[in-house]
Amino acid sequence: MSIDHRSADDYRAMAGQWDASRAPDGTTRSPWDQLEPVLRHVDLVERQQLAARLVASEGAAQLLHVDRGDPRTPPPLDPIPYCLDATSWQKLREGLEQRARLSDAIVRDLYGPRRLLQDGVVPAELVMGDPRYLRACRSIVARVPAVTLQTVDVVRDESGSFVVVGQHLDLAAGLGHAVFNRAITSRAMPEAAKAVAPLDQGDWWGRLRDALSALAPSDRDSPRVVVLVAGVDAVEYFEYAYLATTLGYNLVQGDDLVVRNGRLSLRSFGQLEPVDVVLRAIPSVACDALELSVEGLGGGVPGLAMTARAGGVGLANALGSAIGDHAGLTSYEAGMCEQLLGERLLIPTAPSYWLGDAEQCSHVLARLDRLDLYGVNDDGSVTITRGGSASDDALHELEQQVRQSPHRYSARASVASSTTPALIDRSVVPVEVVMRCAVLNTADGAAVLPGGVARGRNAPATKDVWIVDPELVGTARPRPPALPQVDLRGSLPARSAESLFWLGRHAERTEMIARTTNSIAMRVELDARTSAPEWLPRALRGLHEVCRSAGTVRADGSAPVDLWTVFRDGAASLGISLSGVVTSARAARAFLSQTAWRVVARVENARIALEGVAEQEHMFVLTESLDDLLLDLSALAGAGMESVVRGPGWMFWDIGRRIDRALLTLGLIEATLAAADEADVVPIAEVVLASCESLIAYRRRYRSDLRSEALVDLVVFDSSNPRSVAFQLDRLREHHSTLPQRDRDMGELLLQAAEALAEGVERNTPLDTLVVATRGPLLDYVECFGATWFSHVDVPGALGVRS
Amino acid sequence: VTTYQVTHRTKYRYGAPIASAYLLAALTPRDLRSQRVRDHHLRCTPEPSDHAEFDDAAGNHLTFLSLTGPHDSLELTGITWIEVDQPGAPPDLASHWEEVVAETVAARSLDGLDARELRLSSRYVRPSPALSEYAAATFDPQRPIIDALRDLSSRIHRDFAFDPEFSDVATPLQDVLEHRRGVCQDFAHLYIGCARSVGLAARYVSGYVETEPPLGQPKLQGADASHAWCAVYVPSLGWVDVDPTNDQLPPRRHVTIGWGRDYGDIAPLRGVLVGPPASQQIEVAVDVVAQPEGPHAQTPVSQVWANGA
Repeated sequence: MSIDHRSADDYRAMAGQWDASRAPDGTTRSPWDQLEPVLRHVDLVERQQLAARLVASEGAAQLLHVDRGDPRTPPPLDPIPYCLDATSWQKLREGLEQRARLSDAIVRDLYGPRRLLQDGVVPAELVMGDPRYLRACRSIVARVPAVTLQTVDVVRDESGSFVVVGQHLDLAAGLGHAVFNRAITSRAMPEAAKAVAPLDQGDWWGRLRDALSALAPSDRDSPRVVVLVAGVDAVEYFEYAYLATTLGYNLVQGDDLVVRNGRLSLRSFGQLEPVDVVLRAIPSVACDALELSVEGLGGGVPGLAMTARAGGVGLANALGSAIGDHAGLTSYEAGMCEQLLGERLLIPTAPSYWLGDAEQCSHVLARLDRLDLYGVNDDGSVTITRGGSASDDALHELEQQVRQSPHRYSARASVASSTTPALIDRSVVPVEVVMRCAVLNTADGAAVLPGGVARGRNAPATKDVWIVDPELVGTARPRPPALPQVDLRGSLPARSAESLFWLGRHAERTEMIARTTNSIAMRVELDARTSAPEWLPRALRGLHEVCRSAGTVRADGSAPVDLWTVFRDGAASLGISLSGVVTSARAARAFLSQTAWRVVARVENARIALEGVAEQEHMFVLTESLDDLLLDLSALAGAGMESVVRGPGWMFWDIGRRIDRALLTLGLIEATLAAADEADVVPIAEVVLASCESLIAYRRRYRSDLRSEALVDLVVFDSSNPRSVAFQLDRLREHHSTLPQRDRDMGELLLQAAEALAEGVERNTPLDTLVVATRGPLLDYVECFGATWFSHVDVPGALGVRS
Repeated sequence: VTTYQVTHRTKYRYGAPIASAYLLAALTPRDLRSQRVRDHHLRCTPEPSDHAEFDDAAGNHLTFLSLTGPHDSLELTGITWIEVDQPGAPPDLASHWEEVVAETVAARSLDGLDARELRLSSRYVRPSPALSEYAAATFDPQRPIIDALRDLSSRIHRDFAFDPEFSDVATPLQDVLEHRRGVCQDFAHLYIGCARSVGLAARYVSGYVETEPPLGQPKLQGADASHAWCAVYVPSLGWVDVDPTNDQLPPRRHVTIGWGRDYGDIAPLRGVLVGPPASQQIEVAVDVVAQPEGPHAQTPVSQVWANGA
């Protein structure tokens, strides 16, 4: 399985192409001469697998995306970093710093004095006819800077010079990916980091935080920053969640925020918390349905543009910055740089064209097959067609569209990129890469992140970028950004509270379904005589009831009779509740410890593994994987108890858990034990006890045959058994007394449930009556709880119109 | 000079309470060379939790309102006293329309840049072959600009039926063209689309018109609606207003609120409702009443915010 250790030595650059590691005469360039001895002594394939495991343990295997191409398969992380020497870095840094100042000046000019248009540096139609130019933002005076943060795609061309091939002003896409790759690579390649000592990034992240704070309205003492994302399902979610956690900011969605009295607030646990600065991860056009929305594009925060206009909130970047992403605008960049900065442009963009200009249009149409064509859609999104790989028919059709509205199209030459060594399919080969660099622009000047993300152009790989400057030696272990200064302990966005509550519920449901399924399977294995013992239908009814209470049974609702059906159904139910665990955990990520988060990643893997198991023939395969899953779930529960601060967030998590443990236990008991025949009692009781994780406790206590009264005593009434219904009610009542009192009747409901139990003990109430009397108030409690704490999310709609 | 009292009342009923509403109102007329706002009030019931006034990119006066408590109805009333000069006809300019297009394209001043923006397609006014074809019949080579603008207005007035049942603001221009019917917004959009199809800059104007009562009958209260027309940029004259719905160039007895690329920029009321309504019942009533000479003519200019009763 191990790679030929010399393959890094055997690396041959492509003839005639500038290579990052090899000079044309075959000698090794600096800083590769420092890196290669290390590469020679590590097993790169092993390190790549290690990196993949680290990525998976962050829950990112399915979620990290470089492009919107195929969301499910992110390119693997290449353990070999992309290295830049000090001289090249100096050039790149100066060029990108200038570009940051230029982008900011462009956006402020286009939404302000429009000198670029008045002086004819840029055709007015290019800007004003583009859907990314938001007219409503012309009446917002942008703060300085308007563009705080951007990412820029850069290649080294065949001669080794830097060329910009794309920029991202509206949203600095890739930033979270950069910090993530750095974290993984420094763990997967510690020797290399020690030998090469790449520049540390901690200072830059500190400056980013300062820059964001500086955007706050001037009267705010310790500004609150939030990261605004579209939602858990959005392609960029993981990246921004990771970034928010790293920077110590709350991650929020549009309807978590609300405009009140000229300010922006976060709907938080029980209150509205002021928000001073928003780092946008949603495009400008989706930020405010009232003023910015293009038809059919709702969402965002109604009133956000007005709040920005009134100076009530700072935005990174300013609304409307997307006009700076216009590919055609860059064909005028040299002139804009002269005009706005009085400087010569240091790093140009690849030759670009705006087709609204007749001359450029005919130039482009004559060579469509060699250019990339950028068409802007009504909603401001851009469709890119690679002329080189499009069919003749497609090109012909495209030409027709261009001729109809040429000003909607831009084109850019595709620049041949230099190569760098990369691990592809177990060997080290030259690969063309694009670097995505991050540039910060502040009132005190610009700063480029020392590093970034490099992506293979035609090969599936992403890399960390290392800057090697012997004069500015970084620390051997690149540090993650320093700790946040804002104390978020008391801050619980309402959406996070809901996610934590559901994390608790889904985890408990999953555990109960898995344990019940497993208990039945193991008990069947004991009954070697028959594969269909007479107690089985009753046990299956129990499992069915558990799945039903967990809300994971298909609508037809009939109880299954066949063992394998129920296992398949059980697996299907498990799949549903496991997805629930992962989705809620993802949405509440900022509240989970690293360990808890790694367990969540394992749970996700278990879910994927289980999809295959359901079709297996042998029962032991099922029981084995359920056993593993139960261990992971115990670990998650343990992490919840031991490594989450006992704040309101934890409490919501635990309340969710307790509610479903009580409800599912009641359901299981009702379906299996109420009116049971004594003949069935032993195997059924064993299944129930095992499902409630109380079999050992029972044996220690009663040392006797299984009797249903004793069993009920242990799993229902015994408040010292953490699995009993009584125990759950005690915890719920404790939590309830700690929460701010919104509704006194809710406490009454819990009391009713507890009284029903107490009465059951005293009067020896029949089991089915007892279950109904306890479950009723508990279900009412769940409903009230949701209405009290989670009713915040209302769907917005448009005001009707009539003249 | 005529002084008008304009009352524009909009009432919404939602059927069930909604959580909150965010509104953008364009109900405050601008001061222009040809009109002077003497007094203006905007009232909102229930009382808004927040309001702010600002000028948009074109200088129109907009009002942002938010209602953040549950409410099941909304009433917004704008009352304006305004002096309007009755316009004279534009001079018969020798320039033909191609020259006007060339001058517009070359404009670099801020006004000129704004005009160039108004040559481009916009949300409610998209170019189409049908539109160009309809326009072509008017824009004969070398036709003097004012003559061409009058002709386009007359043709729309003659070819299209005014039919409030047919269209709403979402009716696409191509349906209007196909069925030859619509309301004032549609005719304004249609006119703008035709002018833009030959390269002229054209803008959408929102406002009011005093409907002249039939002889010997009293004016009908509440019979009027908000009105829309358009204007075309002729660099040597400025913006030339034309009302294709009433076939008037210049429009007479009109009060201008403001303008934009199309309806979307200057709709009297835009809004986002959170916790969307079960239903929306809308009533709009507009009165534009010429005032006898009197004290209001002397009322000082003021922008008054008055909360609802």
